[in-house]
Amino acid sequence: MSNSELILSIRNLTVKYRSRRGYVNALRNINLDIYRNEAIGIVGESGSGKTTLALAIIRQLPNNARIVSGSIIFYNDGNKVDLLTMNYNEFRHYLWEKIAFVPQGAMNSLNPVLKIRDHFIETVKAHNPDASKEEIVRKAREVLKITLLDPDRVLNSYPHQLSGGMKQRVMISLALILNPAVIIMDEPTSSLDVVSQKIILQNLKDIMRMFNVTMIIITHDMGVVAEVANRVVVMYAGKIMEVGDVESIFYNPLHPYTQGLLKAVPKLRGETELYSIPGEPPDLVNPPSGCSFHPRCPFAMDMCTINEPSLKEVNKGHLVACFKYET
Amino acid sequence: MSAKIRSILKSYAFLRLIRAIVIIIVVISISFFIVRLMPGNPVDLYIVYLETTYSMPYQQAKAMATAIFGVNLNEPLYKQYIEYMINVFRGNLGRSMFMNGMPVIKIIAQYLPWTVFTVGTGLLISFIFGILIGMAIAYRRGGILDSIITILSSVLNSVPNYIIAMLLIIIFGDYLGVVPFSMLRGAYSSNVIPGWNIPFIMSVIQHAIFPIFTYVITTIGGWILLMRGSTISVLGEDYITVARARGLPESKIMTTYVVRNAILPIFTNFTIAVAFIFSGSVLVEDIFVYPGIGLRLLQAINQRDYPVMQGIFLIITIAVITANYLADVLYGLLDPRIRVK
Repeated sequence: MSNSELILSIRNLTVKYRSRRGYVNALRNINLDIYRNEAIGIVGESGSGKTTLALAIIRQLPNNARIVSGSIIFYNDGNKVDLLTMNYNEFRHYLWEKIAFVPQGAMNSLNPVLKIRDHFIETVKAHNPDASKEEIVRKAREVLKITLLDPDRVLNSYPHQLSGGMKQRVMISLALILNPAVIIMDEPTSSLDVVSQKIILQNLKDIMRMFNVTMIIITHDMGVVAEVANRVVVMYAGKIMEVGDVESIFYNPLHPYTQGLLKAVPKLRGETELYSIPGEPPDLVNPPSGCSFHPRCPFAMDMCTINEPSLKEVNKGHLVACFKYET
Repeated sequence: MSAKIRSILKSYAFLRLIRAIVIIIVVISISFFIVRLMPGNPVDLYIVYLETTYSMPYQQAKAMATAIFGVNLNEPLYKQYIEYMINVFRGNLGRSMFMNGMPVIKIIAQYLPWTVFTVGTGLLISFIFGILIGMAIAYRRGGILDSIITILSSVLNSVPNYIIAMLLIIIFGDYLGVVPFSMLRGAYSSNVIPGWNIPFIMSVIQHAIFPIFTYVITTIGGWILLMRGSTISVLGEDYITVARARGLPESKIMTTYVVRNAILPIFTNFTIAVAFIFSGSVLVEDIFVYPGIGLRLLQAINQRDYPVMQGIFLIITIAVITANYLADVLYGLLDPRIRVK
């Protein structure tokens, strides 16, 4: 990271969901710093809390969720603001202007009864009521070209007239219309065919090159991370297990879970049998005692079942929550 | 110019119009053949009735039946059919077997407006309020108000309208004794002059209020439940979360996102409701002695007045098909996915 100016600083974030069986511990004591203009990949299996983290940042958690503790500090032109305690009407102007969010499965992210053109117009008007329609459409054409879409065709289409990949790219363009400082992408490539995936990854790289933007990419696909991210956060059972730059994570993974994840990526050559981490993801209503990963960990020690390891810096910028590295 | 004509011919509204007209023609044909081909069909029965009751000679009875049913019984069946169809499209639906052979179309013109007025008003009120209440409780789902209204709606939705009509008479007319229902028979009081004057309008409202109220109570529960379900499913859609994430004001999300999408599936039910209410009006109008098409249909059935029955069935069918057509066209305007390219 050439400049390591903070943009988001998440502290002690704990989120629970109310469910029939009790409280689901979706996020447990998350601490994470995100720097300006980096592309950070958040990886983990389903239910590890990746999407909850994204929704907490933009304050769009479902009704049954409760933020138990924590703060999310946003560094805005030298000012520090806590996004979680801010008045919502004020926060509404941070949404999309400062932090844009492209959700998982962007197929259903657009209003089926509105043309793409209207999505751009109403988004800009919500933040800048004086903007002229011509000006908005002109800007929309620019951002649509960045994602390699044909503006003339797309602007006059309804969402159902576009393919899944095109809708995803429309959402990415829409995320750029207000020049946000942060864009959160939730599974940008899942449920798309490989050709569309390739275009989207290319779009993301182009955007990183052309804009001063921080990108948070949530995915379970290690390939996506390797392709676009420069830093990686590994989540498991609502906790951060490991944080490091992309080279350290791929060439020198520390946490046994990260090692397992990387071994589970199919390879072109070599071993034919695909590795899978033994056991099942933990029940988040009653998470395992001690380290959440210990029931599946090949290196589990006695202390792992009792005490919970905290995130510690092992190498410069490479943090891990594992007792293996604490002796 | 030809391009414009071609685009009209290809338009969704036009295609649906053709379909509606075809359905109406089919229905008219079916009603003709059912009456004509049944063993002991009403035409023959009427001739026998005239012969036996009035000792009328067969030729005279047949001539009279021809006039009443609007068909020439001396012609072969296909010619009768063509003649009947032409008559129907001219508005000639035959004559009543009673009331000195009054034309059926005149009877309908006299009774139909009252039903359209009460049924239409009732439907509109219950639809608008049902939609608003359903949406309001969907936003507060899981709350006490939601539970109470949902249960109440299910109960109201399952009570037949004639039970509600009778309950209203028992409660307000007898138990509380505050409404003189016997004075509210008819569409308006006999001491007012029909026209645009205050006493007449007041009288019309007084007479119509209980039938309308009955339609509202018995249908509003359905709208509330439908809109509640539809709104809840729309609120769970990604595009609502994204609309909020885009920083759109909540009022905008409610109007262009929630309402516009939640109301789409309900539109279809609106047309079905029109049909249900028309058939439901038969019993409600009978209970309140309200001179609508339902009451007249019941009289016609009791008197075996076939031409009137046939005419009213036809009008109800056309009303339902027209309502369906309008709803389909409106649906196409509201939902771009339905439009034919």
